[in-house]
Amino acid sequence: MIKVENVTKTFDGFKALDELNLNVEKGSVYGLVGPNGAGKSTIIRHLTGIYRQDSGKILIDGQEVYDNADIKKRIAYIPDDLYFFLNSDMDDMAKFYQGIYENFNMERYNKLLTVITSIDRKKTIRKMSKGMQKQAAFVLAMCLMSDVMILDEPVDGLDPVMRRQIWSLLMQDVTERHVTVLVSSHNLRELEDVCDTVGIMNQGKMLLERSLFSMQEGITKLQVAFKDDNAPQINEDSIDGFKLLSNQKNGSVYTLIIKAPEAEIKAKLQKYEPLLLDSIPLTLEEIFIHELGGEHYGIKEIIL
Amino acid sequence: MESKKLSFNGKFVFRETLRHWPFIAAIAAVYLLTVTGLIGMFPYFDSSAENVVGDVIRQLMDVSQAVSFFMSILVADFAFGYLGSKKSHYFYETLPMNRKSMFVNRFVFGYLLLFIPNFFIAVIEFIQIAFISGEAVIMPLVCWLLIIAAENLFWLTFGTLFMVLCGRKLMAAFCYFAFAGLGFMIKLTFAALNSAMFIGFESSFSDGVIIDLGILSPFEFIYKMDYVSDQNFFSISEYYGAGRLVTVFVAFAILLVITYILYNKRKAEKTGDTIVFPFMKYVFSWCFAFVFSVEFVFLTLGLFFYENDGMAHITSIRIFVVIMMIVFSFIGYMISCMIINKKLNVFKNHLKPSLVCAGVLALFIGLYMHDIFGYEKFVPEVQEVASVRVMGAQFNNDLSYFDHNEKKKVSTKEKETVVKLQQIIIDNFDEVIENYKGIQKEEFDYVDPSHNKKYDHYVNVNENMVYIDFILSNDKHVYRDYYIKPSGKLYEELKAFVNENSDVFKPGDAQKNYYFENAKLDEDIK
Repeated sequence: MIKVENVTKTFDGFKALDELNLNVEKGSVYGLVGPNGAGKSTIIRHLTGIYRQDSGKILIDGQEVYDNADIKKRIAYIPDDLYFFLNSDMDDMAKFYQGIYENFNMERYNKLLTVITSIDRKKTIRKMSKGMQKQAAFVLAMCLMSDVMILDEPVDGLDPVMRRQIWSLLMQDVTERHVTVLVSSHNLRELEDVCDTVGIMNQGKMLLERSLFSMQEGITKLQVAFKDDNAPQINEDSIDGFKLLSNQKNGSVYTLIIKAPEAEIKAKLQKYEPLLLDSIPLTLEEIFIHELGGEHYGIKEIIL
Repeated sequence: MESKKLSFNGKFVFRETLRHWPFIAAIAAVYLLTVTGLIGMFPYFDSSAENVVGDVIRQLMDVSQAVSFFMSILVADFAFGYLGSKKSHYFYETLPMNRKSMFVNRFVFGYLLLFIPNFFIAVIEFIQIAFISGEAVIMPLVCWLLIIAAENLFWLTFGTLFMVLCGRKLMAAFCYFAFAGLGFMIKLTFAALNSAMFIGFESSFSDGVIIDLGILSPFEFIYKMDYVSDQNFFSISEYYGAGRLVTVFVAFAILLVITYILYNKRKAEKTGDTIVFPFMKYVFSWCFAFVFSVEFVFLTLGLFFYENDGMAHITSIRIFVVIMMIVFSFIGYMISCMIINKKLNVFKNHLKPSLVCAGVLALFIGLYMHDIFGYEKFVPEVQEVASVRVMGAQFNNDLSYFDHNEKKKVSTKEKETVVKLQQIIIDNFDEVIENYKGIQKEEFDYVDPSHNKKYDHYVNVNENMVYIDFILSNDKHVYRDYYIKPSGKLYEELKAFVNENSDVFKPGDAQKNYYFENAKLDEDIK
């Protein structure tokens, strides 16, 4: 649905995007992660038709986005820096969007405002708190009935309850309407529960782009404890021939991250008759640390 | 492709206009307070439709030109402010509208903000006039509406051009224009205090400078338009009516095309306080330095030389003027760099271009004062002259006041004679220059008979001037004035020439011509 091919963008000699590639499948949720200054907002501004690339292609559903009203009609965008008209309330903004987006759903708008009860539809949006403004922007974006939603730090500034509610509504849209979502964040933890695919950017380049499933497939996190007389040889970087990505010992219990499929490693360790052998879900943070092996210092910033 | 086509979105324009209703109301209120309010204060001795319309339209014209300029600039910021503000820029650029359509829709929206209050006021005035005079007067109001609509278009495009070129740098550019305008106001004030003070550049030798400044200063432009509107507004079919309408509209169309081309060339991502086209920095700096230096040079001259020599003495202090030009244009250029770079420490980096600018501007003014461009010595061909107006000074009856009213048909002989008169002056130009230099020697003690008041060392330069104003067949004015001492070779030559052509230069004819229309009217009444 979204395809970015070898896109380069330079601002006054500074390469903000450097031969960037990105691919988002239709109906999927793509998490764009990276430290500050990685180029996330820049690529999002390209995807929403604000910027024009120096070279490369930016396609949504096979069409170039820049200056293309037909494609822009199908995109809902929540920027990091929100903009609302002076003295306008929710209803004013909704009417404005209604005049521009053919598919704006007034019924949904009214319905969403009954779900997200914290929004006062008659209050001037600019007078609302940052979190409330985010919610307002989200409601309006949801009503555009777009095929693609591009969200720049969408839940930044929201309380945990509201975050969950927002994500839940978004996931509902993905399931029911097969909306394609690209969401950026500088925090991996934010995205691990919602994304199908994650792309990590740094210094204008895509360091890694992979589906969460495929990443989790080859890495296993285990908690194990062995009898003293029947334990495998555990070195700093290997256990019984398997590559060890992490090794932490607390008393007699080891927490290990092993580069191997879960079934295979469990079968192998069973022969030592372990006292404890439990698999623990991996966090995105752990996957990326071990995938990238700490080569890229920028990664530290997205998981801290 | 459909999306590349220019499309007008009525709903978008309507919504945008609607949400700016306070602004529309504010413009309408300005008109209501200044036009209807002021008129309402004065009792009408003669409430005939003609008089009421005259008062209302004149007031409307005066107010609307100033309001049109200021509000159009403000509206340009409303309509295209998103080009200078990142947040709103991102908002508008993501809307499903291509850039061409966005330009058109925003422009129409801006124009509506200006037109709606004007239309509203026209309706109000129609009612007011009808109420006072009991007559339904439509045509003059429609004319006013047409003219102000054209002027709104022009100024809105003017403001839009600045928004496209430099985003919110419009404000800096605006300051520059305001500055030029302020200078003009200062001059006007001083001129009002003593018109002789400015004779040196209000008239002959630096006339070109002030005309050039007129182009740079919208305030002066307004002042001039105001003048012509007062004189000729009702004659919609004549030059300053329909002709003016066409002129303003053509100027708007040209400006709009330039603005639109530049808008499309503007990189979409350029926002904030960015001068989008680098050449604009130089244009801005040079213009600023020019206006700044000219204003300050003449202001300084006024302050230092008025008491001693009078401004008419300017021709003898050319070197001083050139030196002052170097100093003030250098300072002006530096100030413009400070505005552009938003910092005070610009001296080192901009030293070279500042010096170049100062040198070039001083050279220009120097050459100008030496009449290198032949401005002073230009004499039109008789065939080119459509009409002519001459005003001789009143110091001697031989060169008495004579005036060919523009409305009177001027014969070829009259044209030829005036061209010859000017040629005599040009042939004795050195004496004209000497007359300027020696103007202070003409001081005398003067008793004002109306106030019975004595003025020591009174210099009444205006009475020693000869004004020649040609209207060419292409509607251009060639206006010159020359200081003629009531003694000397030139004076004698002119005197002889006037005597020779006494059938053209009839003393007392001026009165007749000047009051030509009124006299006719009086006869009709009789």
